[in-house]
Amino acid sequence: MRGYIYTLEVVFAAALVFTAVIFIFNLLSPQQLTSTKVIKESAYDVLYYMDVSGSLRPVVLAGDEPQLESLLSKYLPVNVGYESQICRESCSLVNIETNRTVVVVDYYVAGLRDTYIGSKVRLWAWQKF
Amino acid sequence: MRGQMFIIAAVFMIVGIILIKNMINFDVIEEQKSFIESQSAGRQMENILNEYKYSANIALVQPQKNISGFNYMSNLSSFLRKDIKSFSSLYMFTYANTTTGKISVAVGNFLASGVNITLNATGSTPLGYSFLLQDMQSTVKEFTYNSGISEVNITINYTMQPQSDLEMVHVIIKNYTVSYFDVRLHDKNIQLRAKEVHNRTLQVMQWTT
Repeated sequence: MRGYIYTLEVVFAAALVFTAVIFIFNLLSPQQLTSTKVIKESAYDVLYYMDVSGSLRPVVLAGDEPQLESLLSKYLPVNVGYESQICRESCSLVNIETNRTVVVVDYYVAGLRDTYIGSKVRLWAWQKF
Repeated sequence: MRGQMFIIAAVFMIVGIILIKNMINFDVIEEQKSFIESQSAGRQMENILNEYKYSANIALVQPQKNISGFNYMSNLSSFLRKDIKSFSSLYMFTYANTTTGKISVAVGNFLASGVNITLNATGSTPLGYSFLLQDMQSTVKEFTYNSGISEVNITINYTMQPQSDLEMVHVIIKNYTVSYFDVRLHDKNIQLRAKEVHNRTLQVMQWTT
């Protein structure tokens, strides 16, 4: 009986060490940082591309969020989930249902041609799988 | 060896692993995080500068260019200041109006502190202005340029203790705007600053029949 308890204690100790190693080395792992960086860069690049290609500013001027999301879906990678908002003052909190790390990118838009807007596009993005 | 000893040994091992992890990796990861944040802030800085320039361009196609320039720059600066904790800026928007013979200079201080400003213009009346501009305040000063000259040098000297900055822009007397932006993104990890001069000539289209 004693031998059985000793074995259980050894297994428990090994499991403790194993769990701690996984937990400690998963916190802020370089891979996690890299994926956050890539998502953030992609999100900004997509907004920048939409701006220089002339599709972003008309959508922001019209405040057309469905159209904005439709455009974003064309350019963002399929494994990136997102939510977006056009804000004139401050952005309201959106309901993002994910337990993943979410990056936030703000892209400012002063105007379109002869019209001053003073707005921003806020894009929340995360890795889906 | 009793079983409890294994558990005690496991606790020591975990403490050891945490210490090793902190010694080896933590600083590197913190540096990586700062690097990623600075890259992100660099992109934000690029975006902000572009929008300041865009605002100046919008002002140039309005009937009252000087007033529009003043309003757009102030509104954009206020918006950015409220929206980004680390943001501060100083802007100058100049417009030479050939109809009135005047150069208007709009200056806005969003540097989070009062700034002593000296504006000087060559070949103009008056030669200069000195004034204190509080944080989040903007003002417009006017110079009447002497007849016959085609170019005026405008110098802005602004002091926010302990630093003083001096910038000079050339204003060509022909429906012309020059803007100067000093934009900063400062927080505990990142210290970014960019100065930019943006000029634009208004092209007056003449139609012949």
